[in-house]
Amino acid sequence: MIKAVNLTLKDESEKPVVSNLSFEIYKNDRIAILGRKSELSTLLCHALAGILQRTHPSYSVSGSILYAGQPIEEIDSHERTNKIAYVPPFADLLISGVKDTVFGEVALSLELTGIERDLIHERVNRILQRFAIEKLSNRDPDELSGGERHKVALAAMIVRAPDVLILDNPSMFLDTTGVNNLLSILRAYNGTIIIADPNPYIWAAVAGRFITIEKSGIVPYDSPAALIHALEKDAVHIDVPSWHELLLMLRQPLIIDTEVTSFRSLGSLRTIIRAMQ
Amino acid sequence: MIRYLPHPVPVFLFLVLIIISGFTLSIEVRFIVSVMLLLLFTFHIHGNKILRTIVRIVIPLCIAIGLFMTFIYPETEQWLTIAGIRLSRDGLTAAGEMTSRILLLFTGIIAFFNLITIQRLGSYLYQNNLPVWLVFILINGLKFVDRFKYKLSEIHFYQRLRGMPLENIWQRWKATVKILIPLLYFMIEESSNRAIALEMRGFTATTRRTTLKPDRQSTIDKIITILISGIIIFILLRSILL
Amino acid sequence: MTVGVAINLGMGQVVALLKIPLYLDSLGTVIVAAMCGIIPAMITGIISNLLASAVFSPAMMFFIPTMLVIALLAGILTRKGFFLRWWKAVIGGVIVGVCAAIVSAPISTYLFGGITLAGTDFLVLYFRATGEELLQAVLYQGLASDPIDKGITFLLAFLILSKMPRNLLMRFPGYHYLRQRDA
Repeated sequence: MIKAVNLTLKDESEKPVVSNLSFEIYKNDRIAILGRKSELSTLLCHALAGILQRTHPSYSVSGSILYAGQPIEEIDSHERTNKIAYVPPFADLLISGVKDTVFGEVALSLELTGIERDLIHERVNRILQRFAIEKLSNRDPDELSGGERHKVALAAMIVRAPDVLILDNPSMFLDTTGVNNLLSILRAYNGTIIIADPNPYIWAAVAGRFITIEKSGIVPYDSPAALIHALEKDAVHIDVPSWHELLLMLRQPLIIDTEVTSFRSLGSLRTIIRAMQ
Repeated sequence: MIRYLPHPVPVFLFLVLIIISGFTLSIEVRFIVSVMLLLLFTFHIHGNKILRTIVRIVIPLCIAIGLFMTFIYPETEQWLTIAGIRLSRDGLTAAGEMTSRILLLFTGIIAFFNLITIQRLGSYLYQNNLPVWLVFILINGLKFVDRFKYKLSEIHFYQRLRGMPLENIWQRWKATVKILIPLLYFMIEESSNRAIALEMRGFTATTRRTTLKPDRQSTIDKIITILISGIIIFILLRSILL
Repeated sequence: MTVGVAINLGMGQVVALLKIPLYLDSLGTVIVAAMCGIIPAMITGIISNLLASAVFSPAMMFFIPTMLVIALLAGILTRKGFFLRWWKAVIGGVIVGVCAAIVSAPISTYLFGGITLAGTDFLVLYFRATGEELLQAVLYQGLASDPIDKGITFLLAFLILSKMPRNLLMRFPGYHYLRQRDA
């Protein structure tokens, strides 16, 4: 669906930030972008959403990102935004204030696509319920707190149901229930999800494939097992909790050997991974 | 107390009517119409606001213009002299002309902006397929000023926390000027980010759109619309024929 | 086009703020004209004058034509490279000021009899006393004060634009007219 071919990004001083990256994202994929530096993952998100030239005009890009075989910059911007949605970390930016209720604000995303009224009501109500903000639906978005506005903004974007949903640090302003609601929505989401979040509780719960940003370059991993394997060899430098929790979060079948108290002992971990595979 | 808040269409026609009559009717009629409008607004729910604005802006302006115009024709035929100040007929006519026109026009415009909220105007324009970003600018223009002021006061608060002296006006002014331009850049950057973000929500869509709650005219609105259109046509015909 | 529209979407807000001071009320329009182009600047001018007439004085509504002229000229001057040097910006401001005065004189004469309550009225009285027609008196007053006002406006706009971080400025289509090419 999305294909990066020899993607190279250079910053103002001609220093390559991303070099020769090639990977492919398939339909209904769940991909996490992992890295110590959130600017880099943001950059990659922008590139995948096709807005890099506008947010970072001083960067030079070579290679290409193809969406359904077409270079992403060449797709008409309106068509592109219907298919690929990028949710910025400060999702507050997504709230337009054109409508004076939360319901109107979320519904506006659908009104602009011209679908029928009943369908809009149904879809907006459903997304508000799933974010547990249906009580706010008649409030003015300007009067909400930061966390509530963030949920409204996420709802306003997700309600459009784009084919590719790119979430940049979505958990930044969310409380625990908010995170749980978001995760359940993302798990049930019918479409490709690309998520860049430093919080392992988020990415591990959603993603099945990973792209790690390292000093040496960007490496795609095709399965949780592959990522764990690389972690085990100390080839990846990302913030992860203890092995035990990571495996649990990655929803890998795991039979805990009572004798193995520390999963840092590589031998036992290797056995577990072999068992998984 | 009149609680009626009209639909954008009759209010807009009302504004057109006021502007046309401000330039066509005679001085006496203008004064009479203005006074009638003012009386009408005293019974309206937003009357207080409208009248207060008129007293604050229009009356001083009218007085200033009246005096100004009265004295601005010194060379023409003397009419009467009060306490050594010479008045001329031309001057008084011009003063009447200006003050009556301003009173009428400004009363109309102030009423226009009080009878209709920017929000309702925006949603009406939205419903009529005006590009949604235009509606966005219209609605957010004023909110943005508040946001800027809020940011400024926030920064002042943190400056004070950091122990910056902000006691007298001069110090505060100096501190404000220093952050004004960086804050402006921040706002510009945020705005351009917002533009990209809203584009992601489909704000550049040119396809047909649905309106969830269309703002339709009630019966009173329709009657008023027809009435005002009639008056407008009458005035226009009269000024063309005469 | 979409880029212009989207930028306008954001810039409209910035402008609404910059409008507010009584004079220098075209700073926002000038900045948008330089950064985004003529059409966005015109839209900015119209909307900000409408909002200003709702909030400040209803008179603002009648000066929309002046704002359109300022937007048009500022856009053209930017393309001619008038924002590359501060003295050029001031000259551009003076030119725009003269044109603005010519456009707004009939409006303010016909509507207000030349009064603005802005401290420049004594000039009208002075010119009137020297025996000029009212329209001419108002025009002379405008020609005396507007170029100064617009000169300062353009100078401020130049300062704001020249100090703007390159990364930010590059997002806008007017970038090439605002910075000299790096050698």
